[in-house]
Amino acid sequence: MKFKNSLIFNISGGLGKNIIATAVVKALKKQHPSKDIIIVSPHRDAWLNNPNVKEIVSILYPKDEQVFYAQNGLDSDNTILKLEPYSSEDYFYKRKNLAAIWCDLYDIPYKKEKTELFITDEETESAKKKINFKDGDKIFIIQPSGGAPGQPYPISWARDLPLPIADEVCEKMKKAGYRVIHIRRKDQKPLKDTEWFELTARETFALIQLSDKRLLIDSFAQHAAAALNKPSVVTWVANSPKVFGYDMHTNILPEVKPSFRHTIDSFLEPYNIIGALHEYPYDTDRIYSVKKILEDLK
Amino acid sequence: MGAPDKELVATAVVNNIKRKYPKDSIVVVSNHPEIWLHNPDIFRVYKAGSIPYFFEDFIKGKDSKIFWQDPFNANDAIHRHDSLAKVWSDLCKVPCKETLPKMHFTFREFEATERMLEQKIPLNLRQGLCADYIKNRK
Repeated sequence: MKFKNSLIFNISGGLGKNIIATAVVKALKKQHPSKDIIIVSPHRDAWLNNPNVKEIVSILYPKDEQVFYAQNGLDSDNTILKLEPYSSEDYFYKRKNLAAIWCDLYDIPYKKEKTELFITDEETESAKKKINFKDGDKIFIIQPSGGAPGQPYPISWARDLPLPIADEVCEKMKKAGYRVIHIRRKDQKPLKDTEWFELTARETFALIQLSDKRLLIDSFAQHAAAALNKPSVVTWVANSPKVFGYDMHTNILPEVKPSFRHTIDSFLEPYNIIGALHEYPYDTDRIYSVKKILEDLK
Repeated sequence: MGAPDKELVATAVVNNIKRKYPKDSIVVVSNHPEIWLHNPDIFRVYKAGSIPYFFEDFIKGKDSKIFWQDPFNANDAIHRHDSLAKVWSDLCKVPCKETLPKMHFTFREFEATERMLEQKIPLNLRQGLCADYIKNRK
């Protein structure tokens, strides 16, 4: 048994969810200051240098997780916190912020603890070097698409910013003198006239810290921006800013009224986050006003 | 949802939920609906994956109680501190008064089974290998 009398906090899911969990772990540490917190997660990038965390266990495959718990969890005095906030009633009814829902699962007092990321100067320098940063550069970052590689639709309408709107905003920001940097995976479609760099997740965090303006969606970058105290403009479609958003951001909801749709496949939530085509509730992709986005970016 | 054995335990948990909320209608989403047939604690059982309009019928604007947490993720289940029925009931925040599974059969189901056996001697029923073991052995 490697860990003794520790709190083993398990997070399944994406990088954004891990960044939200930093707020939960902060509250957990306040509740149990003398206990060591061990993070079990596929996304160590969210946890590196976090002083609330004693050790990070990178688990990429569920099978490895079983082995880890067999070796470290069972028959010991460790407490395993592995419940799923996405399975709670408050989540389905969008009653609270996800960090608050997560804390409720374990009766952790939640006092609106903030998410946090800890980036070294070296990581910032590395990001600067990769993007060829020069003093006086005004950087505008856009992340119009999220999700994991290999998702059924490359663009998920349920989360992503419609690309024609993204293109128009980029064009205007470029004309306003900004370097426009597109945060995307290599396999995602590039926006017109934008720069793209192959950065690590942590270099991307550093880039967010360096940036002047940001237009984001409900994906890891908006969580990172909040953790780094960088107020941003965030567009939303199916998910709720009440659950996943931050008050510091300007959260923009669709301006268009949804049309009638059969919700034949809707189970515990109205829409599937993968963006099933037959569920798209609007009759246009002009669901936000470019003018409003640009005003909010000022 | 889960393997049949887990769903059998769930029948005890649902009984505990029904005791706490006697006037509410309980809807079960199951991989094994046959386990739930004729269970008087529940209003409906649906086969997972084929429930059209579930959101509209049971969630949207309804303020339903949703018990969706997997008990196998609970600390007490991982450490085997208590029976699964107790851990699961605790997760659902209902007193655990029942830990035994409940199944309900019709007269004809009993009768047909008796006819198939055609012997009036006591039976010794054994399950030698679990399904996962047999699958992995292949």
